[in-house]
Formats: sequence, C-alpha cells, structure tokens
Amino acid sequence: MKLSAIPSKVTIIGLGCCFSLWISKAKAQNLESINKKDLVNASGSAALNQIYYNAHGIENRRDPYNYFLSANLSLDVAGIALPFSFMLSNQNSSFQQPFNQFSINPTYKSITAHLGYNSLTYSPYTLNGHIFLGAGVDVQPANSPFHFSAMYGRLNKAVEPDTLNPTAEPPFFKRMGYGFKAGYAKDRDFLQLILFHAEDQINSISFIPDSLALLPEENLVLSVQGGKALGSKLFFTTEWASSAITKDTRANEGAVDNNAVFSLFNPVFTHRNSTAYYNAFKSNLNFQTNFFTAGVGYERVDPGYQTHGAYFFNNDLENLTANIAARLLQSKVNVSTNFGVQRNNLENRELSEMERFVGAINVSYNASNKLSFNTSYSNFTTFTNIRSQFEDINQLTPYENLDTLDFTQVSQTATFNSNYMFGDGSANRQYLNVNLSFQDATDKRSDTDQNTGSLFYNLNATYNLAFLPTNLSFTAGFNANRSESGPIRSTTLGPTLAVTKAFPEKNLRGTLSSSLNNSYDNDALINRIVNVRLLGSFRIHKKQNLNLSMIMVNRRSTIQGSPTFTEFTGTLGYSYHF
Amino acid sequence: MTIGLLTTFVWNTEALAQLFPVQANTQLVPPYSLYLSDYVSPTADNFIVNLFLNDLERPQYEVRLRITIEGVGITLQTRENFIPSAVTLQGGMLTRLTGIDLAQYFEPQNMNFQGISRQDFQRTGKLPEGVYQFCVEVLDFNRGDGVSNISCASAWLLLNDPPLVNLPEAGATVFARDPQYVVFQWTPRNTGSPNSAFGTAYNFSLVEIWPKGRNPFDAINTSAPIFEATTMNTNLIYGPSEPALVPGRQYAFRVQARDRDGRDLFKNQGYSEVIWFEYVYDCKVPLNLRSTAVDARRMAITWDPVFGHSSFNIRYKEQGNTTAEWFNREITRNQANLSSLTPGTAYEYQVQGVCEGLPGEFSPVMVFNTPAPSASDFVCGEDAPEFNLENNQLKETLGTGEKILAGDVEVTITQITGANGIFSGEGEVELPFLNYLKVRAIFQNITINTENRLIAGEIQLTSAGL
Repeated sequence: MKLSAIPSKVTIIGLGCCFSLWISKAKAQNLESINKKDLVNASGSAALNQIYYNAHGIENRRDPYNYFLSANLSLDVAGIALPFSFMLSNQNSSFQQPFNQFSINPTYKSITAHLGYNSLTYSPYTLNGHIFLGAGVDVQPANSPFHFSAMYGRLNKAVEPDTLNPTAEPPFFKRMGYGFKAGYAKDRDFLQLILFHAEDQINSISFIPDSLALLPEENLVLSVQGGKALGSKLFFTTEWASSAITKDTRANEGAVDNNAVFSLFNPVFTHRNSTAYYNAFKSNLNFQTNFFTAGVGYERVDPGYQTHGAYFFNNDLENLTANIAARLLQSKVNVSTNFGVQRNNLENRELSEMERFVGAINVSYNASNKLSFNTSYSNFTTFTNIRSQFEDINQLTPYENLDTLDFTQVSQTATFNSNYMFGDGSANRQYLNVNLSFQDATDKRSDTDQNTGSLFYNLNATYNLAFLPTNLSFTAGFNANRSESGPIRSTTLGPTLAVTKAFPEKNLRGTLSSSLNNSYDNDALINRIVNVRLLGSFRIHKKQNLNLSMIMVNRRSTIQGSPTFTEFTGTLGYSYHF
Repeated sequence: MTIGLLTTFVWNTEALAQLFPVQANTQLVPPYSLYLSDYVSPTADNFIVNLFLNDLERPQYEVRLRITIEGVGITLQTRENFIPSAVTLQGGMLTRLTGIDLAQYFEPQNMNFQGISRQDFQRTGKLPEGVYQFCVEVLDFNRGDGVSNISCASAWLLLNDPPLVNLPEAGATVFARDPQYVVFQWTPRNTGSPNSAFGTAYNFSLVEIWPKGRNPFDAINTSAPIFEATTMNTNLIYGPSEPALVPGRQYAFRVQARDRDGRDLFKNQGYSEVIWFEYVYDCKVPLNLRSTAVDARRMAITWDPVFGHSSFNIRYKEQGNTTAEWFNREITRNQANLSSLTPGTAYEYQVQGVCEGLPGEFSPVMVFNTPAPSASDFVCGEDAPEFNLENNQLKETLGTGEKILAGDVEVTITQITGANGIFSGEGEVELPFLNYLKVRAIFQNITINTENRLIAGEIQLTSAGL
C-alpha cells in the first residue's frame, strides 16, 4: 500500500475495507521491535552566555567580561543512560570555591551513580543540597519499597586565610563528608534513616587565624524521617535529627558523654571536650483537596544545632506556622494566607529574647476575562526584649538603662495590581496595567524611632497597544515613587516608552525600551537617570536560540559627591538543543 | 567608648591598690567570645595577662594563677588543688601571658563551677550571654598565697545572630518593572547587644546565579558580586541607577552585620542566609481556558491572553497515566488544535504565557475528554476532501516525532534523514478504519512543504500482507 500526495485516500479505502483479510497478521507485528533502537542515542543542550560590561565615571561595579558555558549531554548506550553536564566560566580563577563544575550521572536499571560535582538532599537537618566533589549512588528498585543512597566527597575546598585583605572571602578548611540514607516507601507513606558525617582537615590550610572564628570542626548527624497519608486528603510528615558537633578537633578527647545514641557511633565520631549534642524536630500536617489546601507545622531547633550538610542553618528557634489557600467562585477568586510565630532563646542562655510574627495574605480576582485584580499584604514584626533578670545588675556596668535596648521592627508591604484588556480582538489588543506598592519598615527602641527604617511608595502605570496582524506593539508607562528614610525624602518620576516588533515566521523579535527618571531630594533635583534596553531574540530551526540584551544606564548628577556615570551591560546568549 | 571605660575602670582599681610583690594587669581584647576555648586557642590574643615582679633583686620567682570568671549568678574559678605548670617571673621584667600559656587554667576539669554545672557548660563549651569579669590573682607557686593585686577586666560577652532577611523571601519571583525597583529588607538580631546595637553596619552583596538553579550559597561562594553596598539602614532600595537586573535571571544576595567597633562576634561571621530570587516579567497565567472536541482524535483549545503575552506554550498528557509524558506545543495565537489524541480518553492540559521570550507560570491543570470513537469517524467511500498543495515552500528540517501529512493520513516520523524539502526515512501510520492499528511506513526522497504536507513522492506502508 502506498501513500502519496493526493490519491492516498482512494488507495487506503480500496484495501482497508477488506481489513479482515490481514488484520490478524498485522497484529502479530511488534512495531516497537521493528524500529530497532539505536545503540547510541544522544540528546542535550549547550548554552554560552557572554556578558560585557563597561562604566564611565565610576569604578567598574562588575567584571568587564564574563562568559558562562554550560552543557548537558545525555547519552543512551544500550540501555544505560549517561547524562553528563558541566559548566565553565572565566570567574573560576577569581573565586575561592570552584565555579567550574562537571558531573556525570549514569543510570543503569535501578542504579544511578553521581560522579563529579553534585548535590544531594537527604533531609533539611542533614545533607541538604550541599555541593560535593566525589561520588554518590542511588539505588531504587522499581518493584521494591526499599531504597538506598550513599555519598562521599569534598564539601569545601581549602581556602587560605588572607589576613591582609579585610574584604577577602572567609577561609575554609578542606572538609570531607560522607552520608547514607536507607528508606522504605509505599504509596505516599515513607520512613527513612540518615547518617551524615563531615570533618575538617586541620592541615589543609597553613595556619589557623584567630579573630575569624574559624576552627576545625567535626560533625555527625543522625536522623529519622517519616510520612504517612491519613486517608486521601491528609498527609503527615515528621523529622527528628540529632547532631554532634565538635567545635575544635584539636581539643582533648573526653570521656564519651552519656549520650546513648552517639556512644554507639564511637569509632566514627570522636567525643572531645569541645563536642556538643543538639536536636532538631519538625512536623507538618497538610490537608489538600482540589479547591482548598491547609497546613500546620511545628519546628524546634536547639540553640547551636548545625549540620555540615547545609550551607546555613538557623537555630535556637521554635516555630509555629499555618497556611490556607482556597479557590472560590469557580476559581475566579484565589486566596492564600500564611502565618507564623517564632521565638528564640529556648535555653534562657541569651541576653535578649526575640519574638517574631510573620503574616501574609494574597487575593486575586478575575472579575471577567478582561479585568483582573491582585492584592497582597505581608507583615514581619519582631520584638527584642532584654531579659528582666539582668535589669538589677545595671550598677555592674557602664550601661545605665537597659530598657533602651528593647527593640521593635515592623516591616509591612502592600501591593495592588490591576489589569484591563480591551480592543477589537482580531486587529488590535490594548491593555491597561496599574501597580501600586507600599513598603514600610520601622525600627523602634523603647518607642523611639531609630531612623534606620524607611517608607517607600511606588506607582507604575502602563498602557500597551498591540497590532496583531503586524506583530507590532507599543507601550507607554509612567513611574513615580517616593521614599522616606530618616530626614531624606526623595521622589523619582518619569516616563517609559517601548516598542516591540516580532517576525514570527522568521522567529525573530526585538524590543527597544527607554525610561527617563528625575530624582529629587527634598524637592531639589539631584539626578537624571536614563535607562535604555534593547532586547533581541532569534531562533534558528527550533534548535538554536540567539539572545541579545544591551542595557545602558546613564545618571547625570547635579550634586557634589555623587558621580555622573554611564554604564553599559551587554549579554550575548546562544543555546543549542539537540 | 566601652574600651575606654573598661580600661579606666581597671586602672582605677589598681591605682588604689597597695603595692604587692607582683603587679598583675588583665586585658580583654575584642571581639568578645562566649566560648572559653577562644580565649586560649594557640594563636589567640583575646585575653592577656601582664605580670610584673616588683622585687628587682629577685632573679626568679615561680608563681601560678587563680583565674575567676564571674557573670550574673555564675562563677568559674581555678580549683584550689589544681597544680599547673609554673610561670617563672624575673625581677623588673614584664611577663606577658596569652592564649596557650593560660590554656590549662581554662580546662573545665581544672575549674570549679557555680551557678552552672560543669556538664551543662561542657555540652556547649559556651557561657550564657551577659556581662562577665575575668579576674586574675597571682599565687606563690608552692605556698598558694596571694602575692598580687586582683586584676579584673570586664565585658559583655555575646554571640549575635546574623540578620534575618525578610524581603524578598527565599525563592521569590520578583517582577521586573521599568524602571527597576527592588526593596531588600532585613531584621537585625544583635539589637539586644549593648556593644553593637547602636553601631551596626550592614554589607550587602548581590550576585547573578549561573547557571540557573545553582545552589545560591554555592553561587555566592563562586561568583563576583554585581553590586555591593554598605548601609546603616535595615533596608536597601535597588533602583534604576544600580546595575541593571535582567528578566529571566536568578540572583542571590546576603547581608553581613558588622559591629563598627569590632567588639561583637556574630555567628557565621555576621552573614545572613543567602537568599535567591528570580527576576521575571509579570507574565500572568492565561485566563478562561476552554476546550471543544473537533472529533474523537482532535480537540480545539482556546484561552484569553493577558497583558504582556507574546506567545504561548501548551502541554497536555493522558490523565491518570503515571508514565505519560507531556506533549508540548508552542503557538503565537490564543488558540490551538491538538491532534492524534486517543479517543474516549481524559487528558490534562495547561497553558503558559510567554512574555518577551520568557515563559510565565502554567495555568492550573484543566481536563478534557475526547469523545468515544464512533462508526461515523470513518466512512468508507467518503469523498476525499480537497487538499491545498499550492504551498511550494519547502520544509528545511524535520525531526523524529514530527508528523507529516499525506493526503489526510498522518505519518509520525521515527527515523529521518535529508533536508531542504527532500527527506527519506521511516514512520508510523495509525489506520482509523483498523481501530487505530499502527503500521510502519517507509519513504525515500519525498518532498515536504512548510505545512508538513507531502507534495511529491510516495510513502510505502510495509505491514505484512500488503
């Protein structure tokens, strides 16, 4: 049977209506096996971005030239997937941890290996996304509820302290780590056990400076994590973790602390005089339906809790959170809110106590398919109190009145956004977009404003006219903002104009936009800022993309001490998908 | 100011003191740490004891020290029966003891604890925060009698937390405005410190994240900042004269709190958590998605565009099939026809707007059901519809998975070679009159136009029996 441009229908019908003659044979054919799979299949992408920068009138604020090359290549060789990725930049030499990274992550059946620079996340309190150079393996058999993961590698490269340069990045010891995770998961229920150990190598840097708070540490973290579905809509997760931290591995070995759990790991982890043990706990309960979600969470992290598997850890906190989101009126209204209360000083060892309240609400309303609104409000309030037992020791100190140290910070943000679409639909489309935002931060000590906060209002209105048949659109906007910080009241006003033209058949589009803003401090003109942006994109054969962005900032200053400058940043990006 | 006061305080006490055989003078050098081990680490110079033997006749005199660390309700003192190695003083010469010389006195087992248990102290190695006096008295090494004045130095010992960033929140999307305005805001956590509460400076630094998705801490450790500033305020307004932020890129920043007089220590050297955000166009979700069935295999999807949309991405997959993958389509109009669907099946679909070449968020998942196949879908002997073959513009490239049309029959390409309109390869055809049975198709040097239509050549169906 043949298919050709026109007579195909006739041909097929002629044969096809007699299908009973050959259907049984045809069914016996396995089309999958006819199309023999290629032995080697490659797919992936590569991207090169080059950034040029130039400034006149001020010192360069960033490097004059950077390139960033990244590539992902996935090879499929006889059933083994071999994804390989790397990134390269000329920043590599100028920074302390290596920018350039590569990884290869071969998968065969249920086993995936991670070689090179990778990051794995076991849990928030253990290994949590820290990049390491080394090897890892994940074993996840398809028909077994058990899974297993392990890693070993370098978490930090050694960086020599530079005491002569006060702005130098902090020094690092070379830090090696390993971790294991074993778990059981069935449907949505899961249980997993995690062990993570890391240790600094004392001799990896030539000397250990004081005053930089850099000490060779050792860390062992153990964690149990689990989740359980309670019916189809409720889900409960919890994690308990315990961390042993040796603050200085040069300290003498001590008798093993009466910590029953860690004494089991004695050969792995050396108890020293500078060793401390901490716990962290977190639980969440979530409820979810199609139109409504809600959740509550509780978290407690001991003062001092740390894991070398994360780059940063907030500790000494007790946190209670709640969130609700709902879609109402046939999804025309979306409401989401979240609240949190946090306190610190869990062991009464700190001089001051902090309580923090976080609240946010967001409402969006699609009044019709032409008109929509969105509004949001968030509040961060922090109270810091000097603990009362210290008040009667004032005479001991040169500080007369500790009350003045009570501190309150309130930070509020409110935004309002409205969109209106009109026009005749097929020939042109017009939009009107209005954004209002308000941001207020106040720092108070015993009710006295510290003048370190600010008040910021912003109005941004935009009109857009798009001619659909010619793919041409014009935008006119106006921006006004006012900020008050201490005695300075500054206002910035100005228009923005933009034009966009697209050639869809050539996959080419370009936008030119410019804004002019005048800044006034206490009603006197201080700056005139011109921004010009040119953006272009060109796609070649669906597989290659070329992007160009050129941004010019010119500030003409009328006051002394504030330089007049022109700054140019250009990015040329090229990407290739295969 | 504090150093001045403390020094005065120390010297006053000593001025009033009577003349002892040994004159002791104690100094605490900022920053003031809560960890006793910091005062005696081999290289530390934070706690300095100067001893002067007034008896110039005496060439050598062996002494030991009694060190008392006293806070509110807490006293740590050198144990009476602890015999350290001797310090040898020489008449008329100043002996300066620092870190390593004093280490043995700071070992917990050599101290008496009051107001805090040794175990409690050893658990963290850290004193509770507060004001402390570090006092030194010199004892005759053998007799244990006091032979000097009691010299004290005092300081507020604190370990401050780094600032807590409020805005933008971690992982937030920050909408690009023309001109740019981004508000960064944080809460200091050293406001209870008498040392630094009134003199904190913040160093702000911002980097671009390359490539997108990189761990923000790693990005800040490996990249040069594009903007740095120092402020006494608890916020920073990033305006049009700051280096331009580029929509579509991710940024990471952190704030470092610093006591301007260097008296306070901060955890993590005062560095806040590294917060990342994505700077994007306010590319809203397309509204009012709706679908209508064209026939059992095809659906028409329409939606309402919103401000800023220049094109759209549509994706759809079979509902409830965990191995199903998304099919993606790009389109410039606000309407799309999906074909080659399985009849009588529920599909999930989503649409996202693309603004200036950058995609926004996908709309919530919607579902359509293709009608069940019916006899009327295929009518034997029906007249062939008209095909427009006037388009002679040739297709430049074709890839596997793309579809070409031969008359009204759709061929899905599985292997392809060739370019500029002339192609050879293999494909699959689903035959509607055979309950969508798949049949293999082979073609050699066929001509395809830009509408993916076969305009010259033949496609061979090679299933058995034909």
